[in-house]
This record gives sequence, structure tokens and C-alpha cells, in this order.
Amino acid sequence: MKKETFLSIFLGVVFGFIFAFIILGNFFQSQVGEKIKTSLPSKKEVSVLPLKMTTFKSLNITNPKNFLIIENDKIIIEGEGDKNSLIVIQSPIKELVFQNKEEKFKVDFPLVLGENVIKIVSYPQNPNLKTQEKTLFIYYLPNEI
Amino acid sequence: MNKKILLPFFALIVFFLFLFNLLIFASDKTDSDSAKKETQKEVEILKEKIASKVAELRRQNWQAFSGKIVEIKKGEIEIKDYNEEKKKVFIDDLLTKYYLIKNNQKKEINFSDLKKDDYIIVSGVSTDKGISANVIFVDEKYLVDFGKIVEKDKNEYWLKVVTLTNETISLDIEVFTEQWLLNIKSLHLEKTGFSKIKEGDMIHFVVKDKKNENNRFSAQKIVIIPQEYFLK
Repeated sequence: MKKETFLSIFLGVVFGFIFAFIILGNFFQSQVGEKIKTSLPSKKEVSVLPLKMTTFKSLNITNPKNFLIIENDKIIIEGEGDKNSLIVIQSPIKELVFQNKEEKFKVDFPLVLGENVIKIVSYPQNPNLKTQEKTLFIYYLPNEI
Repeated sequence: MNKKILLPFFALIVFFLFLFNLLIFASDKTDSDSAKKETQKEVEILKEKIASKVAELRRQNWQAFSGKIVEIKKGEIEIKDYNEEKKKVFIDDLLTKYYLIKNNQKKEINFSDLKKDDYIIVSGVSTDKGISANVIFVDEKYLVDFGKIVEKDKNEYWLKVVTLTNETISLDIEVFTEQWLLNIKSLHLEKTGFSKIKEGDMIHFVVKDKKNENNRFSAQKIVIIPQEYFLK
């Protein structure tokens, strides 16, 4: 074998080894990097959610006015209160319990001759909120107006 | 011009003038009649408007006041209202009428039937000095309130209740007491008994404003809101 032939084979093998080491080195590096990445806790994304304001609607009776004289034996009670609150309306002749699904409510209510004390109580759905109450004095006095 | 022609000509002119005058008079009369009718109609509308306005103002000023009689004098009654405020009620011997309300019916009574501690409703016009009474009704006073049951006596069937204003009220559950319990699932009221009532439940009650021989109020009606409703 000629001297030049032997040198070229030798250099080919050396360069082949160097080349193989470079490729294998890169391959292992990328594999270890991925392993490290997966083993590290992933960085949480900071979510900026809009703050939901909890507005509390206080109990308000819009109809009828207090101390009213009425010529009919029934009235319509209209009011507004906290959504989903439990409303209890009681008088000596009638009691009504319902959930205030909307903010406003409207109910028919019977009256007796004379004074009608009507207590309206609202229990908010959130137990941390205060129970509210209103008292109406309605006078059913026919032929007196 | 010939005299024979002139005379009928003038007569014709006078006749036409007369006819014309008559027409004008007739038209004037029709105009004035329709105008009169129009005015009358306007007056009627105005009258109606005034009457409804007066009725409305009367309605606005027509108020009722209620309270317990503190003192009865000649021509004047003093009452104490729900706020413990004293109010003067002025009586007119000729105008003021008196009624007793019982079992949803009214019965006429006299001034002399009124007595101290009676609960009365006064219907009339409010002035700076007091109320000018037109009608006085003697009625029964009811208390309608609610609170938390803090004590239950199973032997004597009474409940101790603390109201929202921190007032402690003792209620006797009588045979006649209407007892209702809220079904927390359906939110319907169901008839219940004393055994189902628990300490910690909310109670809505109606009582007559007069304590019984046990120094407690006899409950007319109760509505129980179980404590479980608030734990949902």
C-alpha cells in the first residue's frame, strides 16, 4: 500500500470519529435539556381576570305607600331586593314565602277590615349578608275616602 | 222710470233686505247656540277635572293613624302610636263616627264606648296640632315579627325568640296556633307540629298584643324557616 493511500485512510477515519462525536454530543445535549425542562416546574401563566363586583340590593317596597287607606280588600305589593333572596311576607291573615328570582317582585296580598300589619323580610342568599325587613301599615276602610 | 215699476222694485229690494237680515240673524243664533254648547262642554270638563283633583288631594290628605288610647277628654283623645309617640285626636260631636271592628265586620258604637288602652284607628285629616277625626274604629292590635328560636320548652309548649332588634319574646304554642314549616327543597309551606321545631330555626309569628296568664304571647300563626335552609 502506498504511503499516500494509508495517510488518506487514516485522516478519513480520524475525521469520521470527530464528526461522529460532534453529532452524538449534540444529540445527547438536546436529550438531557429536554429532560431537565420537563423535570422543572412549569412557569404558571399569570391570568388577569376581571374582578366580579358583588352588588347587594337592599330591600325596598315601591308599592303600596305606608299608612295608606284602601277601599279594596287586596293590594299588590311591589318591591325589589337581592337576587335569589328568600322573601317572607306575613300578616295576620296571610303568609307568603318565595325566592326572589329577579331583583323585582310583585305579589297580590289580601287585606282584612281595619289595620293590616304586613311584615316583609328578605334573607339574602349569601348568609354573611344581613337580613332585612320592612313593616307596612295598610288600612282597609271601605267607604271612608 | 215708471212709477208702476218703481214700487214693486222697491218692495222687492225691501223683501230681499228682510230675507237677508233674517238669514244673518238665523246664522248668528246657530253660531251662538253651538258656542254656548261648546262652552257648556268645556265647563263640564273643567268641573270634572276640578272634582277629580279635589278627590285626589282629599285622598292624599286622608290618612289613618293608629294607637293605644292614653287619655280621653271632652272633644279630644290622646293616643300613643307604634313609635311610642303621643298624638292628639280631635273629635267633632256632630261629625265623628265610631265603629267596632270584629270578625271582619264593623258595628257602630258611641263615644262613651271608648276606653283607655283601646287600640283605635283614626281616619281623618292631619293638622299641625293633631288629627281631626272623621271616623274612629276600635280594632285589635296584632304584632307581626320574626326572630331566632333560642329555647324550646317541650313540657309547656313555649318558645323563646330573639328578634332582629335583640328583643326576647316568649311564645306559647296553643292548640289553635297555625303552624307552618318551609320545605327547603320545594320552598312550599307545609303544616307542621311543635315536635318539628328546633332551637336555631327562624320563626315568623303573629300574636295579639296582649300577654296571657303565663306572661307570654299566645301565637296565632307561626312560620318556621329551618336552619338547614341557611346551610345549603
